[in-house]
Amino acid sequence: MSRYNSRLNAVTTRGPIRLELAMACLLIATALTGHVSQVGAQQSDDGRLFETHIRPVLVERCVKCHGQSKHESNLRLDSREAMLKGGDSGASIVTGSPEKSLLLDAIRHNGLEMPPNEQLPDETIGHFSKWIAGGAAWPQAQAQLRSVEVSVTDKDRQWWAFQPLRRPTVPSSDHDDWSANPIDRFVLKRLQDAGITPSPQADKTKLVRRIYLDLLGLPPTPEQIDAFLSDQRPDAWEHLVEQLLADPGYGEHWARFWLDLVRYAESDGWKADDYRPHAWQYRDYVVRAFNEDVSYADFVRQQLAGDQLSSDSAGNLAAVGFLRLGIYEYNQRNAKQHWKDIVDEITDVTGDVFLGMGMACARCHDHKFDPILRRDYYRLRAFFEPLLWRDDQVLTTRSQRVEFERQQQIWLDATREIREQIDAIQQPYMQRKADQTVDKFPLEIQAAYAVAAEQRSSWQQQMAYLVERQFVEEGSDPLAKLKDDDKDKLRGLERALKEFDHLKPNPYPPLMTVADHTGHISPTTIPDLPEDSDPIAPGYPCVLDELPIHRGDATSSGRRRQDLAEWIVSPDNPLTTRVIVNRVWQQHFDRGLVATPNDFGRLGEIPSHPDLLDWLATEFIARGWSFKELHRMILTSSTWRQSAQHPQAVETEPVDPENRWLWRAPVRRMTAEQVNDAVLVASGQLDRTVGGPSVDGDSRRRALYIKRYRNTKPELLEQFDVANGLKSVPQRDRTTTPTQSLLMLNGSFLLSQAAHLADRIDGENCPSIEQWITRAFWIAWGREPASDDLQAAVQYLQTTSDANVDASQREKRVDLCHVLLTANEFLYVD
Amino acid sequence: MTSRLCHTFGVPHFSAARSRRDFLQNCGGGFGALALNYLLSQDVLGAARPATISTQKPHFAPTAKSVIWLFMEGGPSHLDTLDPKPLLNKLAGKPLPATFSEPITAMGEKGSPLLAAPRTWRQHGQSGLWASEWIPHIAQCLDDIAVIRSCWTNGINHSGGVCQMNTCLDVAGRPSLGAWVNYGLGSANDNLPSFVVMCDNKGNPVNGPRNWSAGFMPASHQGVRISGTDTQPIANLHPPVSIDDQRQENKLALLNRFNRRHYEQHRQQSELAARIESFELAFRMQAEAPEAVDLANESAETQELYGLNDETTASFGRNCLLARRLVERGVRFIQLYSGTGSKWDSHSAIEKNHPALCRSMDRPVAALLADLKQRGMLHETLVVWGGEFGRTPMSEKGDGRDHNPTGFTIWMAGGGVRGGQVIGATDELGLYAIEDKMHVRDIHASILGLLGLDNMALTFNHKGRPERPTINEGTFNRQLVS
Repeated sequence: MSRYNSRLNAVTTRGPIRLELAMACLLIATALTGHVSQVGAQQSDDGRLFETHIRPVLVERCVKCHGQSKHESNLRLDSREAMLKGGDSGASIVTGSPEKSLLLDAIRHNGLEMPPNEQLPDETIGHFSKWIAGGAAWPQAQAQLRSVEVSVTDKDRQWWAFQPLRRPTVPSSDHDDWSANPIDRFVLKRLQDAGITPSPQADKTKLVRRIYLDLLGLPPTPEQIDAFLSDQRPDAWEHLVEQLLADPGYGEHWARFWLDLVRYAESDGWKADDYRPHAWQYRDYVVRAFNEDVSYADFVRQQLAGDQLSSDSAGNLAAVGFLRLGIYEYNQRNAKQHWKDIVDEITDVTGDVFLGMGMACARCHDHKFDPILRRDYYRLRAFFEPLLWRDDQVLTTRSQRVEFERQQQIWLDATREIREQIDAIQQPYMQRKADQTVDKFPLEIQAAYAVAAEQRSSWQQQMAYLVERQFVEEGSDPLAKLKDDDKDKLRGLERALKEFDHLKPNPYPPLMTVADHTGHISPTTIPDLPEDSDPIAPGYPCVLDELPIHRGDATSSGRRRQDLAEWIVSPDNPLTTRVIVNRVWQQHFDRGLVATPNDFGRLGEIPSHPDLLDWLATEFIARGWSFKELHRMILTSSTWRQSAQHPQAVETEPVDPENRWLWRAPVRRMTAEQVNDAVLVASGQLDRTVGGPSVDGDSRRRALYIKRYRNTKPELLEQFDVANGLKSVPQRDRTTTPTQSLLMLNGSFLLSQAAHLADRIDGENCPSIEQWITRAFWIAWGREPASDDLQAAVQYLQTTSDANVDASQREKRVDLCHVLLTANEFLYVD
Repeated sequence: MTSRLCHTFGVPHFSAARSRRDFLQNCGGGFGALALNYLLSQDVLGAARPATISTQKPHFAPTAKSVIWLFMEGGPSHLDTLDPKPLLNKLAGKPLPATFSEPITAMGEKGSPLLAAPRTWRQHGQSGLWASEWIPHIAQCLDDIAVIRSCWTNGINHSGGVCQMNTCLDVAGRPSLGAWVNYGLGSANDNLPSFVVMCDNKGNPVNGPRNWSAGFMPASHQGVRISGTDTQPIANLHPPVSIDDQRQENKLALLNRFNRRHYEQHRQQSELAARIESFELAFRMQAEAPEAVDLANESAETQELYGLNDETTASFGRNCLLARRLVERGVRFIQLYSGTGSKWDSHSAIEKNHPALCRSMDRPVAALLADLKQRGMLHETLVVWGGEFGRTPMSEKGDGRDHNPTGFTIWMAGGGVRGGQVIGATDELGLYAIEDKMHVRDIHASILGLLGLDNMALTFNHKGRPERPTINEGTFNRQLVS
């Protein structure tokens, strides 16, 4: 990109151009407006008309002056009754007769002029007329409108998730020979209340498979199982936990749930779905962060505001790649809408990931169920108003960058003359394409682009980024059209330029990152409110914190994203730590203490163990926001080490069929990545190289490293419910379909890996067929075969009617391996 | 637990009530919703054949049981097929009159002159609906067709347009309409997928398989692309040739043995039983799917009717005929792409591009309507024809037309739709829809309505929000059936 950058610099007369991206002023998003509906059983067309076209207008344009707190001219427009009653001038509506309704006169500016500052569009007036003619239906579900200025109520604030964290007392029980740590005492208390007992500890063979898959995402080899089974130390388990937490595979596995949450993928989405060759820098950052046990507080700071932090780490610039993960359309001329969509999406995902609150509803209207106001959405969005995308940065620390730039300057000075000659030749060609590119945009965008770079507002700079990126990425290389003599001249100059390569600094890896605009920051406004409405200052959801945040004035950046990060990781924030410890718990137990990990609101579920959740959250803070500490607590609990088979399962099942009270270990199917990786572990083909650029689907690396396109996914991963990279995915689906079964039965991947597995065991020279089979069971399932399964396998291998006995024998061994890798015992962990 | 609010507002919740639809949502129902089968039958390993999900009920009496969506990918010109504009030819060569506001166009040409549509227009049938000479066969079916001339959409580019026509939103991430239908109605045939996609070449439409994805729903609701020409109509349907039937059966028997033993130790985990049955179902599919796509049993007349003997029409004709066979076998939602890979996109030389594409689909489409009718299937099979948008009256590059999302035509036939009518209108130049405008959301709401599904009552709880197929808007246009 920087190569093009210098080209554009050379050609444009519109001022120096940096490839930075920006953020759109807010217009009505036709695609996204009006997510308004009555959630009720009966939906008449009239009711729908009201919800879709009348209610939003009343809320946005009328009830501020004619609602609960103000009723100018003694008129209220926030209920049907109030409208029928009317104000000083009489009833505002006569049902069935739009022509007799004062309201209609007013909005037509016929005698009265309402709203006073700007007339409603004709279409809206038509809707009102139709609505009144149809009887002015007003669905009862929410009889009285909640005006935009009504803030949250005390009742709203009483919702459990908004309460300050407590430090609950750890329960104790007189007859407790089960609990190993405080987690267990909370769990046991709940089980005893329900009159059930926990399961005994799972046998050690099962535990070792479970923990390997849980921490590394990989099944243990028979040798690894052996090593644990023969470890006679009393704290052998704790040793195993430490060993696995120190394995680089830990970060590779645990990065995955985070990547799902932040909708990580490596392509643009949209039509071209262009691959993003540097996106993996963010993935590697996440893997490293887990392996190095970066505190969650820093993890959040780095991803939201890494570019603004004082700590000088190259990873910070990769971490804010979080703000680059959304989709991007390479040829979208409606740049205003495009940027609006981009920042809306960032806002949505920020709420989902860090707050566990779906904010998206409030983009178009106050949240129907949770006390999230529409204003809250735009207060959150305002933190991203100064955001620019940067493609011209490299992965360096600040000091490296200074040195890099110093060296770069030496090269620039030495080559100035040559480069000027090159530019002179290229200029006309580049100019032609630059003009064509700019001309394709709407005039408003062209005007923004025409402003000199140093004078641009954040929005203008954001538009400029989108324009310039199309110059770079769309259409052909303008230099492909060079005339022959220009081509010759250029070739000579490029040779001359090459002579100076020894002066160039060593290149650093490019990456996708962000910065904030340094000039005037455009105001954040709520779409379809009048243009002169007060701009929205950055702030937090009112239910948690009413005051807007100001550092610097409203039109300067003032490091807004850093403020946001600090607020999120404040120990007083009631959501942040509950949300993250719940996510970690969910990864260990298949189900969170709050079963809806991205929704701590009223449509979500309330915690099964509220005290345990708060205890874990406070303990997490006390232990330095460390993920590894949290794992240690959970993995050394008796709760986690329970068997999946309860001796009284038949009696216990009806009491708690969903296992909410944790009376047994869950039985879980492996994730798509685990299936892929576990097959390769069994076949002996897994390439354990850590990190670096992603690879094609037929590679033998861990699935984490397979290129992730948004439009098309590798078959195995797709079939086993991989996340789609489009929305924040807090919990994978787990489908069971015949197409999966066909893939396992007939797909080439499993068939070929089964052959590798058979070859591998053949190479070990097992003295008997029984030992061959036993070895296969240990590799695939991590256990000894039961005697009748062994018998069945022996029988399977020995029956043959084929004349070519050797070939047939090998086929059967491959088949047996294939069956073992296809079986539920392989796919499921208990 | 479910909050009381949800009960008050009828928001479905999967955790508390183990109702059928809730369970589907939780465990990934859809194509072969086996977990559910297990739940209903209590013992999948017993002899009793479990109930199937085809018993899912629509919200009200449907007029259509299945949908065949003929997707002209790239954007066909309504101005040259079904929406005649005499004024366009009069003003050809002149700029768009100032009374029309200039839209943002995909390619960004500004002030381009209007391009004539040099068509021969005729009225057809008893209804007297207009069609151009580019679609002579479809023209003969107009008495069965409701032409909707007032469609509009938001996406100005192919990706957003195709995405929106499939999912109601131009931004990626929502379930395709076929997935919603699958979720809402389930399958009428356990051995075949209920949402099927076919393309008229080996390529992919813009956005690829994302177009038929299940978005935020479990993947089991997504469309399955099938091919009528490959040896394997569904991916991985058959083992490699080296594995004969006997060997495959032996393997399955051993697998079954291991799986049953494992299940006996984990009886509370119904998913394990479901997976056991999914292998049996996979085995049954191996038998049924090839038969469904085998055209050998179709008569010579039928093959001729669909244009299978003509190179121009063979590819799309085959898919149309396959679509009829799949509908006969209970497949619920079938999407056929014509011009797969944005071939209908005519930024230049529209007079060359469009006639060829019209020829490739016109006869097969008419054949499909006639064939369905003659077999008594048209009245319960909804056929939808259209692209992701139309084309501009303004020229592009002199002899082409740019994308027009603000006004374009689609048509519907069968499935209870009253044919021989025109719904809505564009302005005098065909640029903006002006009368009885139908947004994509209204189109989807209408298709769902014809299937007996209320677009506002069909909800899927996703991240604390009751998601609806038409994003809380969209109205069933009852003029289609009245």
